[in-house]
Amino acid sequence: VSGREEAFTAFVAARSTALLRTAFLLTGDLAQAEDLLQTALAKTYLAWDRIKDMGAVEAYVRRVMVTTHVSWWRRLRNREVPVAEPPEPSTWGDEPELAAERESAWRLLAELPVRQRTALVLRYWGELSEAEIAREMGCSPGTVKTHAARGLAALRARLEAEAALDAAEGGKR
Amino acid sequence: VTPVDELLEQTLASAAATIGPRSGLADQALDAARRIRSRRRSAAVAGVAVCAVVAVVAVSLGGGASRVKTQPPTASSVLPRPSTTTPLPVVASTMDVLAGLHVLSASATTIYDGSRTVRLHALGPKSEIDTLARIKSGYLVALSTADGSTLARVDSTGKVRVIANTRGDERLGVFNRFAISADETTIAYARWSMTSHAAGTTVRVIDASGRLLQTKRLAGLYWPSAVDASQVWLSSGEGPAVVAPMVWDRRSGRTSLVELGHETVLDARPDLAHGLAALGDAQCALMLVRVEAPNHVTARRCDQPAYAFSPDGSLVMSGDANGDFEVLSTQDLRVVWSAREPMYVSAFSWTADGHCVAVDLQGGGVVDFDPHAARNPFAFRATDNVPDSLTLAVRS
Repeated sequence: VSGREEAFTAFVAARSTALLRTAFLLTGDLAQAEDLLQTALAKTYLAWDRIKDMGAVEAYVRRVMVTTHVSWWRRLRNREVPVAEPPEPSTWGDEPELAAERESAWRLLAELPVRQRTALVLRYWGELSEAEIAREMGCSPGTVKTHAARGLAALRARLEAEAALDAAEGGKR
Repeated sequence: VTPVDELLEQTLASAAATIGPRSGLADQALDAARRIRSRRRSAAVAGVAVCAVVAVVAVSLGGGASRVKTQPPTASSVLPRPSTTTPLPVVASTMDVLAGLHVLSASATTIYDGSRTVRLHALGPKSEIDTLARIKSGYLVALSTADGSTLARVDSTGKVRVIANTRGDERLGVFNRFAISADETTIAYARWSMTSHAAGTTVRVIDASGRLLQTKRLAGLYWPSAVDASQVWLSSGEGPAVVAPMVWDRRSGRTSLVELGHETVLDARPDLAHGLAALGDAQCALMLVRVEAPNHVTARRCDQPAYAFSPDGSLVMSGDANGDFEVLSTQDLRVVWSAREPMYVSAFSWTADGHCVAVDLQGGGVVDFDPHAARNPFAFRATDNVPDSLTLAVRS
């Protein structure tokens, strides 16, 4: 086993869970997330010798995941098979009301355009700054701000609409 | 009610917490990397077998170490100006260049065309331009809309005239890319069944007025990258899988796969005497192939995600996310010009007078530069009033 393979394997062992989680939040689907991470890691391994700052490997993988995901999405978006309910994580929290809110947010997040979703995931899960997100998405910080603001506004509007509908239905009953 | 940003944070954390550690990821990634490398080697071997001399040139250029960067370019590296400034043919759009690096938001209905901005009218919400070409009467655009896809003509005032669409028909999809011939007489686009992938793709060739000229059914999913009177070049991709591009000979009806392990036609010029195509894969590898002999590799370079042939096909401009620009001769693959600018380049277009227009994702705009200028080739930047969401008129 070469030193490069050893270093790569050690990196994957240390960071793959966090990266898989990011991939899952980007795609909303575990199988796709595993494919995406595997592709990103393969590309990273091929570019290993060109990565000058080994402290930035994780950011490199994330960036490859973001660009690859957008690329796949552009090809596949019109071929998605609609399902009645999106696959959902098994645990949303103990309190039923909170769990319902999170479930709605997860479902609505899946309906956002891919770059809005990406900006929100990197900001609220990755806890990256706008400049860092811009680097990973390959766009300007202004564009990141726009995507994030539009995504949040859309989420807010849809959540409010759902809450209003629930309230109306509750009133009828 | 929980504030939306707080709720989002909690939702993402809850969802992420459901994902536990996985074993074997490193081994799987190493296997995938070996497969990619093996495909690249096979393609390189094919190139050597077919054209040893050219392959030697390609190998000597391919390492990257021999590349010379200049900023600004020295006088000796300045390109000779083109002798003519005749109107350029319109061919496939550079929006095909490495799909995924382009920033097109849901509201991207603006065409930036060097000196003017055209906003498209009469489009519903969530519409966006996916592919664009300049034609004599204005523009040809492939649009994604909230309820389908549309191929349309757009005049200089932004008025949209639909040629084909699937809006409201959930059973059909149209690839959001098309190809148009250099003489603007022929347009190719593809549609497929949303309900059955086994039904494959139907490629349609229409004339400028929208009249159907030819159709071809293909197993698998393809989209046209270039078309002329005799051929249609088709790219393909199935998510993470690599599928070879295909050439459809319109006269004989036969199809042949370009089995080089590359999935996307980045730019193609079948209209040239010895037509050229640049093929790329997800790793941004580039191969130049002759259209007349599609499985014969004539050249190969890597790591530059954006490419565009010059109007006469003698040069190919390349650029990448680090702002490294190179102009290569398509005859011998010599680097005839190079420069480095702090830009994230995703697409190019050449203009009639030999300027280049590049989409700069880092600056969020369009840069007009002149590789023929002895000094300050990047002096003029048309970025100020261009919105974030933009696309590039090709070969205007």
